Amino acid sequence: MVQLVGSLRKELADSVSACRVLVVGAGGIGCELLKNLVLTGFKNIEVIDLDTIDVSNLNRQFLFQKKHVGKSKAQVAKESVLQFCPTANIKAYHDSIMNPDYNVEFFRSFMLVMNALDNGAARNHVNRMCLAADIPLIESGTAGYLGQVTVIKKGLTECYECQPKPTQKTFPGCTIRNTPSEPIHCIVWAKYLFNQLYGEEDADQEVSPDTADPELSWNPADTEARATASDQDGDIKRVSTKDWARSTGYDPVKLFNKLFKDDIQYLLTMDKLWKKRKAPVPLVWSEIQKMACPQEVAVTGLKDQQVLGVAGYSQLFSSSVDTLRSMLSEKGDGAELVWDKDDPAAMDFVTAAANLRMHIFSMNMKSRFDIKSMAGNIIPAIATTNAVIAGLIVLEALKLLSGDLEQCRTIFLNKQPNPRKKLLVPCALDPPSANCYVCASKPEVTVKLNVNKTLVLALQDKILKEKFGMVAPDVQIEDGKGTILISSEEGETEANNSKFLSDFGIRNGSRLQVDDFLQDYTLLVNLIHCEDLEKDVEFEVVGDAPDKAPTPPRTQEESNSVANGNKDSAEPSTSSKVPVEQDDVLIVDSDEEPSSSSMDVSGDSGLKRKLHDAETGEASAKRQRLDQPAAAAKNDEDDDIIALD
Amino acid sequence: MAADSMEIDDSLYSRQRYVLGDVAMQQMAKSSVFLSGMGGVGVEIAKNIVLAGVKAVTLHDSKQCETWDLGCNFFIRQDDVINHRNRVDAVHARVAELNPYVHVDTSNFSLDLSTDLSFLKRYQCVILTEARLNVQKKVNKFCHSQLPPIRYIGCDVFGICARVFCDFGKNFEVSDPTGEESKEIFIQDVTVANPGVVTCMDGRAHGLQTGQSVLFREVNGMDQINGSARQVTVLSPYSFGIGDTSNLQPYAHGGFFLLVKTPQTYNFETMEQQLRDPQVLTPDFSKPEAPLQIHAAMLALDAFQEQHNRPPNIGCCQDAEVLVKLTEEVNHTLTNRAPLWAELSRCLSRTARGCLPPLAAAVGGITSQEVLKALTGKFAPLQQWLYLDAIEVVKPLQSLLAEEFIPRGDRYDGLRACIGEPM
Repeated sequence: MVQLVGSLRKELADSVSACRVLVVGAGGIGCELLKNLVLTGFKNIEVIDLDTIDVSNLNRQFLFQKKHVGKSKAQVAKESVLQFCPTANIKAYHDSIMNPDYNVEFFRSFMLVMNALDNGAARNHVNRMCLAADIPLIESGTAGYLGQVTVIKKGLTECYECQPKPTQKTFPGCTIRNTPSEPIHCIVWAKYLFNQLYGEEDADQEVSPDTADPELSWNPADTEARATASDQDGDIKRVSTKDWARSTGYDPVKLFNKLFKDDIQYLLTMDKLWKKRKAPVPLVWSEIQKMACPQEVAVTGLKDQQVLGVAGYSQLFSSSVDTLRSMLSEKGDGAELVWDKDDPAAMDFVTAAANLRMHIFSMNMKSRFDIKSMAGNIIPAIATTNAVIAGLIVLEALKLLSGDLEQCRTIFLNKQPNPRKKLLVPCALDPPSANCYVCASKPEVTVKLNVNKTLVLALQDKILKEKFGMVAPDVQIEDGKGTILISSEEGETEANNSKFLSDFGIRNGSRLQVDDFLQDYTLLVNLIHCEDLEKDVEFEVVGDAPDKAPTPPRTQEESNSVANGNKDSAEPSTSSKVPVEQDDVLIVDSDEEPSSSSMDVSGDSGLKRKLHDAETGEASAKRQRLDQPAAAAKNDEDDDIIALD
Repeated sequence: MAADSMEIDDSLYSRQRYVLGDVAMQQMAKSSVFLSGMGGVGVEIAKNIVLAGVKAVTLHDSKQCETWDLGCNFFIRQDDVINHRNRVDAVHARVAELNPYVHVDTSNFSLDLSTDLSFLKRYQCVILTEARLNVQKKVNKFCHSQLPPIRYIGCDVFGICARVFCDFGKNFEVSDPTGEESKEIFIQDVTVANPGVVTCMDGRAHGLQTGQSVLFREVNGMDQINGSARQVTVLSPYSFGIGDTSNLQPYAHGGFFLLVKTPQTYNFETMEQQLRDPQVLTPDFSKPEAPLQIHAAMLALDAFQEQHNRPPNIGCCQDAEVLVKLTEEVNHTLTNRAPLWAELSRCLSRTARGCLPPLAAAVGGITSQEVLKALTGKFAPLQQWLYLDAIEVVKPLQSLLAEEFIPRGDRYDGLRACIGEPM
């Protein structure tokens, strides 16, 4: 059970009206939260959000109206709230909370921080800032009808990162480029293609056949065959996709034939790939045009729920290429387009290209609606859930401010009251995890990697920033000399970026001291040299359960997809990473029994609960929530008045 | 207009479509709702269901704006109080502005035991907030007796306690209780036999139960099976029988099956029937008896108001003891009862006139969700009572002097009644 240390009440007992609170995010939860805060008498509120208002927000972010589209969320939210509470003192920042201006001192000026965020990177960062400043944080998230609120207090409760989060699933480049087997592979490919043609080119987002596929043997004959094929088809030569497309004037037919005929024919020459797989079937523009007019199947449902067929999608491909070309040229020389799921032409392009590729690789094509959900990583959202969660946040805030951390709870909002008579499920807060690599007193991790193959830049970007959530890491090798490997000061260590770790004498057992001054966070990284990591795995964190992700809520499972343009996030707006969980949701992946503390108020019911768990063999309450669909199937009729689970 | 020909504005509703699905969205866009009471929880519900996109909402209220309302109702402003506007007129335009697709109108007659209720017939769902229990019972009875029944929801927030009651009629059909999409499960093999046996690919568990039906698609070889639904007899977690397949072509490769959703029927009782033997949700394991205890305490509060024609006074210890007594009496009438929770009754009495906005927001959200379920038949509904309390918030305040809770004529009086002079 969480113990209260010291006199929290004294520390926080200032009146609600005097207390300064920070709201991070002015979106779905943020709008509701701001309203609740001023109604509850909070007067000094600062709100930060770097996003601007989009039409798709208006359906639930009630502080915004059509006339506000394109404006700063934080600013408009502030203005709208002032209309119903003119005396509130609200400060709005149209900015990213990860900006170094918002340092530990900034966080320390608040009595309470409330997150209303939509992405893990910012959540990790705020978690660290609040730990560093020792300010309580209320964390929250929603996805569809599911929601969660929890309270984080340094040293007393779990921090946001105490429970390992499932790492984002990445697709090997060769799966995307050579051997897609699921629709998501084709959708990722289509988004890469968009960027290659119209956006920022990224070497990690190649779309052409990958001749370095480890599945291909280095048989000279094979290589020769491929070389010949390549010669025959000049288009496949290594010119940038964009340059080539530009040289054709973005001719839809030429693009079509290169992408869906020539490249596929080239893939077919890599015959090793197709020994155990069904080989792809190239599409030829002229032949598709000869096909009778697309069969109009009588379909019910909306237009974007229909699947058009190959002819339909080649038409859509052609028309969207045209539209995007003129959009690009309107923007002038050297301009780039940024993929946006809510931009019709960009969405049409990805729908068409992904479906054509799916067809080539014998997959069932999907509707625009489905593809939008996957490509845009759309988190289903509805006003009602945000309203419930934002109400619960303020109730937790009141408990915190009255010095009653003991009464604070992690609360899960379930989709439906049946089958187990649960809608809101409060659980006691767990104490910090001793092994947490963020909030432990001396955080330490062990990472397995190949020191001869890992670049310093990869250490910085993929391990320290992406995996360990740092913003600007400094790295020193504990080699007795204090060699600086990475400096957050510009211009000091960039030359190291393209060197391998082994070039600096790093080997098995080396230790790195990593500091992030903004987050006031030091992490000791132990390295284990490893030559036999799995294919496409660059590193592995020891103790991390790889791929042991919790089952995501089923309704969203389909929509797991490419990390989208969470502008608040440090991640690029397009990447091959597929979050296993919904970003909007806090992770609830506790594998253990509910901590005994869950039942702190009544040991009696805790006992019954455990018995029940033993009976049904179900894990924890947290777990159950995720497994709910299975349980739902079994127990829908369960109507007893009191359920003890 | 046929449901499938209705368009949905994807630019506005995109994120919500992925929650509700198009059929439910269209169902909602054909439904009219009557919502009474423009207090803290009423305006929350109005906001939520207008954002969600019902066809029409009638907002009903007969009170004037007071300073008090400024602390609970975010759509009432100082101006409205100064000009003595009716609450419903004050909020009308601001609610309507939330969603141009929703027709919002108002009414301000007094809704009481003598009101002719036939005007409710044009609504699919009726929600009462801030209504006396006997009015609720009457309206609920009327709704329940209609054919088809009008879905009734009662929602009350008194200080630190809240209750939601749902009655969607005798045979409320839910087309999709879970809202989960049926998983496509790939097939390893289908035997030609009687019964034919389906085996899942890669040892994947099918998760089916005997009696359910599955639909087959894209099977090669045994082509005739495609598009047909067959009843399942579970043989193992990975295989199941599907009846006679002996006259079909042999299975070659490919294909998948998915569970065919079967609608479920829920039976609701009227509020009158549900008072003595309530079917309640237990939201908190740590206090499994709380719902029945709050049920009794809130019924006692209804009785208090009947007897005294007013709610208990703020912070008043005398009234609190009266309410404890009444709770005890109510408790005796319940067939299903829990031990008396006197402290709750006292807290409820002391705060009953107050308004705790975050509690109203949470309960308003939950109630709105039930409205959507009532209109769409998607997701299992609440059966039938939900109780919530925020006693943890006021507990540490017990030691505060009564004066801390007394109204001072500003917008925070409602809040002050609950948590004292804010901390």
